[in-house]
Amino acid sequence: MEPGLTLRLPQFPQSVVHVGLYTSVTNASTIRKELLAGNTRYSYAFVDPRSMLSVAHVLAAVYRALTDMEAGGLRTRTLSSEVVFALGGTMNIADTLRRFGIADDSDSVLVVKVDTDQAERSNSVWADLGEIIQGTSIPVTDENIARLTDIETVRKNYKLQQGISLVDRSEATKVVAGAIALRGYL
Amino acid sequence: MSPDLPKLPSAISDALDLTLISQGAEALIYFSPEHPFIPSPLPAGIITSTISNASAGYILKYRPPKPYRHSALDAQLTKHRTLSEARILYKLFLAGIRVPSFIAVDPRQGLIWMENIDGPSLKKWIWMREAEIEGRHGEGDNDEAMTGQETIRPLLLSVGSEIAKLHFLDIVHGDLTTSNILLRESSRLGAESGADSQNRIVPEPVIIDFGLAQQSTLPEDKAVDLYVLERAFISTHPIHSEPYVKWVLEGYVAGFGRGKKIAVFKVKEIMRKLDAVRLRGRKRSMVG
Repeated sequence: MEPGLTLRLPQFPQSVVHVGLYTSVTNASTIRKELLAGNTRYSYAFVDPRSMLSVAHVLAAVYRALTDMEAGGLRTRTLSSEVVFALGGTMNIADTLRRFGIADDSDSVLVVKVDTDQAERSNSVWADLGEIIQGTSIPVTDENIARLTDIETVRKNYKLQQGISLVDRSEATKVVAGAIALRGYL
Repeated sequence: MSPDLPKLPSAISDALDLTLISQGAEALIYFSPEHPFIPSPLPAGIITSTISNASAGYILKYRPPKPYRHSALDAQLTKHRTLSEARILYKLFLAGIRVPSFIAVDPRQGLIWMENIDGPSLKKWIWMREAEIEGRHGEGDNDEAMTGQETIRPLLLSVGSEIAKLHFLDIVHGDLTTSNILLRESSRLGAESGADSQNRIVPEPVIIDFGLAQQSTLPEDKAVDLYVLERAFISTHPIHSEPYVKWVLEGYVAGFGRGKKIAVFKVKEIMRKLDAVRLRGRKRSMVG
């Protein structure tokens, strides 16, 4: 049984998307350090699940990153960093990476890998992540993500007024997915 | 099928099963049973509803390049109109107005992804109700008017109310017709729209096509919006357009700003402007 989710976005059938979810993570600061150092082994999108609402939320960011890449308009250095950047609703890259990316005090992490070239290491992803991350892999489901969500963090990250209810996950996902789609245009 | 039919970007048409369902002056409307980024069948553990009502499918609105326009201008226009529509759709959704859910946008290529609304247009729905009523009573029967009141009136009241919510946010639709209002079976069992006297669930009106929508605070612009709708009723439902328009406006006035003091003043102003616009209208001589 694969520890994570593997799927394809309908509009991008050539690209394979892997999503993993890990709890009880003890080496978040190490991961972050390697990421910032540009260690190519860490070419994944590492996201703090506290700011995630659902799997659809993640996919909205992957979609935005892929469409931007197709249009030749990546604003960060790699597709992985672009996925994290896509999560934010603003054009401030550093701020978004800080808000949504893995933090030193993260005790859980959501990982995304997009293989646009299928010849790449699709199979070794889970083994690789198992080595990089010191934590427990749990199934990537809306329920598991919901347990890790911090509603206030989501509200703050997307600057949502109190009037907008985040209790209903579907509605909340629509709100953030819309913000992700309209980043830079609103 | 016109031989000059513009083609969707191949990357998209190759990847998804898209069906052309409507061709307007400005854009092509495609239906897709699949969501652009949520795979189907859904992997285990993902809740369908986290993004949309999957069973109704999705709409891709495409503004193709217009060869008769200067290319630089065309690119800018397409991008601007696409973005404007997308932003308004999202803003209205945030405000709780019933519009198709906005999913994604590609301004450069003129593409918008949104939720599909499965249901008849207001135009069609009224025709169906009228046919029903006629079938039961026969033409010219007095009871016909009464029955119309019982089934059509509540619906038109809610239509008026929804338009009022739009105008209260200072957004005018720009192309309000009975074809641009779709009716969706209410998922909440009639709680919001209420049930009509025959206890049939009144469907909920969803306003679509914000391609010509604009932000405006002017009562004049809102009055024109309403007048366009009034003319649409007169043209497509000539027999009973008068009570229909009356009911829509009744719902509009009642629903504007939900009775807040400043709202009452504003809506009165809009109604005054509507009277003026009516006098101005087409084929009205202002001579003598």
